[in-house]
Amino acid sequence: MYIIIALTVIFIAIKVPAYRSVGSIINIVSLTASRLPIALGVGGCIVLAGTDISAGRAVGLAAVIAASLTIAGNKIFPGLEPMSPIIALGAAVAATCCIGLVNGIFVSKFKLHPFIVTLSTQLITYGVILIYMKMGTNNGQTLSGLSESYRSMITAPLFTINNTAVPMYVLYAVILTAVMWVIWNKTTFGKNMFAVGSNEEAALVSGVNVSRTIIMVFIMAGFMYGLTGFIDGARIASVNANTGLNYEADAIAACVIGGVSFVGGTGKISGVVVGVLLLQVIFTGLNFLSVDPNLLYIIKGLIILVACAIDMRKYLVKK
Amino acid sequence: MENNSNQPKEFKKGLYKGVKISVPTLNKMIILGLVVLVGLIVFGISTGGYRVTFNSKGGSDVDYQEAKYGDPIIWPEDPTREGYEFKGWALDEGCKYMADKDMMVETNIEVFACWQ
Repeated sequence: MYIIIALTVIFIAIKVPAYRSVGSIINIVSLTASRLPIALGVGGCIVLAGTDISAGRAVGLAAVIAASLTIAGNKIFPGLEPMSPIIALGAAVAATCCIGLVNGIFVSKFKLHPFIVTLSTQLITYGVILIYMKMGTNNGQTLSGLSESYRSMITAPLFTINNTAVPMYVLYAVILTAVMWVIWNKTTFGKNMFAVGSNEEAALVSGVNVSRTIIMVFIMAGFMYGLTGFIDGARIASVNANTGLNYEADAIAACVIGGVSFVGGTGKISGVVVGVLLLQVIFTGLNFLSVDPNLLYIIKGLIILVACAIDMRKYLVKK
Repeated sequence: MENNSNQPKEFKKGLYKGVKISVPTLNKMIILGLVVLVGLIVFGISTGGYRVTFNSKGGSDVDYQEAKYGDPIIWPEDPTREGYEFKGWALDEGCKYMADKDMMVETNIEVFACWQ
């Protein structure tokens, strides 16, 4: 798999010189940074031998809430002046943490499969987004004209290489990755998460509070979706009901490619980062080669299937 | 031992719970998947191209164009519409963002005529 990816990348780099320009590389890094938090959130759920398909819509909800509080000429809350981005961030994250809490409670207390639970929260969240967008006099229109303080907080240049700016959110992604690394590897909670993922009964017997761990993992994932939505709103600068659509597919694919196994209990932060980066490198490259964007969905789906087969094989061979 | 690893095994936990499969079967699946994947990518590259659609919004019809990534848009002759004057092409229907003359094709796009 990695060999094929490497060959594709080398082929593209030779065929389209613009692909290896500094601007294009910075573009790939920035896009990777914007997709990283959601993948880190989903990664935790996959370690629990579950998944989370409400992630994309949660990102959308966070983006819509953040935009609605910082927009000039507010139509959702007529007369509301743009608020401080910090308040918008708080509101967005609070909403997505609630989604995480609901997911966690249903998965841990009622022993429902995460697929079912997050499928329903995905739909519920979408409904909430649509109703929210209809509030006031907005009538479902795209939200744009976000306040300067919000936009500059996310997209202001961190530093500049060859006249191409590296935006602030790259720094945020690096910080979040570091924090998640510490949580996964250095805290009791992180160790409990891996214990529950690899064997729930054994974890329960050895005194781990299984349901609290599951709920915490989903809330942590919700927190990451909130941040992704907050960053994405300012990055794209216009938010509508379809913001965040299919993000969960990319995030889950990135995790599986990065070696976070669906068997549960295994996975590394570095793997998630590599997975997100690899996907971005491939898809930016295919874009440079003018491959039909509709075909990219088929390619993405196949990559997930092949990655799963490789994941299963790894597990069986080890056994 | 070697023989044993070729027997189908069942996953006892995780998302694959209940799946019974052997390593050789998986090998075949992986190779088949990769072949299809490479085939699709090659197909995508060879047939690739983006479409620039010109929406004349009630004016005379303008043909779409096929372009590769990074190609400049070749602007067609200005469309005509009775009782209106052509103001240029815009990226949005409301003519808020006018298209740049030196714009490059980066994906499928549609540009809209602006009339006054």
